[in-house]
Amino acid sequence: MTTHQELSGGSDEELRDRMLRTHESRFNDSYWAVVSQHVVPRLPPTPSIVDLGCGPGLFLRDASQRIPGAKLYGFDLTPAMVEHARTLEYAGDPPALGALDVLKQSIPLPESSMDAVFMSAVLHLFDDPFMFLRSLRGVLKPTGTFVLYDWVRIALADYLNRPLREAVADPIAERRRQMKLFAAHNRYTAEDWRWVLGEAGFDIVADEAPTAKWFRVFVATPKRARR
Amino acid sequence: MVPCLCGYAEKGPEVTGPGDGPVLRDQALRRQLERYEVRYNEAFWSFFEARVRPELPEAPVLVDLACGPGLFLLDVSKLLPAAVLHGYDAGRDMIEGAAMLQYAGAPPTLGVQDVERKRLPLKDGSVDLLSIAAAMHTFDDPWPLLDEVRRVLKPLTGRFLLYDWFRVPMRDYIAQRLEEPGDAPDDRYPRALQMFAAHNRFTADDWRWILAQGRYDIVAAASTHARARAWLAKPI
Repeated sequence: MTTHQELSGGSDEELRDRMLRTHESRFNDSYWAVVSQHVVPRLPPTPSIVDLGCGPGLFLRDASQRIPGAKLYGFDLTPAMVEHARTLEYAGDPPALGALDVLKQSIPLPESSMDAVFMSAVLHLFDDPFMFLRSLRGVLKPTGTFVLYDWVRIALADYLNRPLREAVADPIAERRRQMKLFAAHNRYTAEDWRWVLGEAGFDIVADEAPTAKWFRVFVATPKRARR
Repeated sequence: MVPCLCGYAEKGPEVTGPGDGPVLRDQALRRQLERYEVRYNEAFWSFFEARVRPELPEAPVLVDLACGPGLFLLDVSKLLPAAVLHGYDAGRDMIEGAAMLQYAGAPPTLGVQDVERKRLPLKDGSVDLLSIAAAMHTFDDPWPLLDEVRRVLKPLTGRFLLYDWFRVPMRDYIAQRLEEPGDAPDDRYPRALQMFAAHNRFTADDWRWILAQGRYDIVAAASTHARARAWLAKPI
């Protein structure tokens, strides 16, 4: 797997800081409206929720406020992200956090223990999403919900011409960086994601693009467990 | 460069480390040989005869970038024995393989060359046809090469032949790869997953846009394989 840092050419700390700066635009009210409509009604009163690839923890912080009573877990490949997540203030109990390479280590959660698994902007990096999704299904309750929030393919011209969240100092270097990112961010079309989830044993119960046409939320449940 | 592993990138320094390099290079060479017939099939040669050859003089100067083990140059030398051929590739083993072939006409001038980053060892306005197959999808920035191609092509009459993969749905890509040669049957599924991103980097529309942004007009195009398309273009 190529990491975000390798793709964008930055350090762990630079990636962390960029994620902090851009968090609000990615996890805005439109995103949470999808979660409120399609995920929260499926959860028990005190759900167990894990964010795989939790970054610097801002999603978990938001979840602690928006889903009161949730028991939260967060894992990330990058220790700098986990360290930052430990410094945040949460509405309820702080999440259990840890550094984890999900492609090399098993998810340190009991089998069938999670009511919801959230994964944002990570799965597109995996060459083999199916192997990982099998592990993910292992920790998800049969009645649980998987929320995949990830890049979907758009045309190269649209990708390179999309408004960037941050100012660009060197346009040529930035074009080269964006071309490199394009390969990773545009690996899957929405149709591909639907196929991947179906092949991995999930039914899709919601499929929306709340923040931009190149970022989609798929709310999925293990097959034969739809409520 | 995107680590494509289809053969072109596999012979570059990103993948061929000192420990396992020789094995990977052998695999890449074998894969290039086995997959050549898949890419350079009857449909491709029909396109070449109908749309490319009529654009060329009797004894064209023809350059194949990322020429691999030289099989395209070998076939071109049969079709155009008077052609003056050049082949460049990033892999020394590929060039060594190309040098061992018996060409119908004069053997090509061959060289080890990183065609993505280095200036081509060719004079301005000296080339009738420059081709590049199944390699440009690995480039992070294709436009500097398109500028370099413009420099070496003959003004007005020079042509650029881009032959590369275009995007298809993932389920189709995986299904097709499972039926194609080049890998042991047990390796085909993991390699299909591994190569999916690189081989499906650009749609046909993306390629058209890349050529237009590089200031090329498309003269002719044809899909010669379920996932590969040939574009004959000329600089604007």
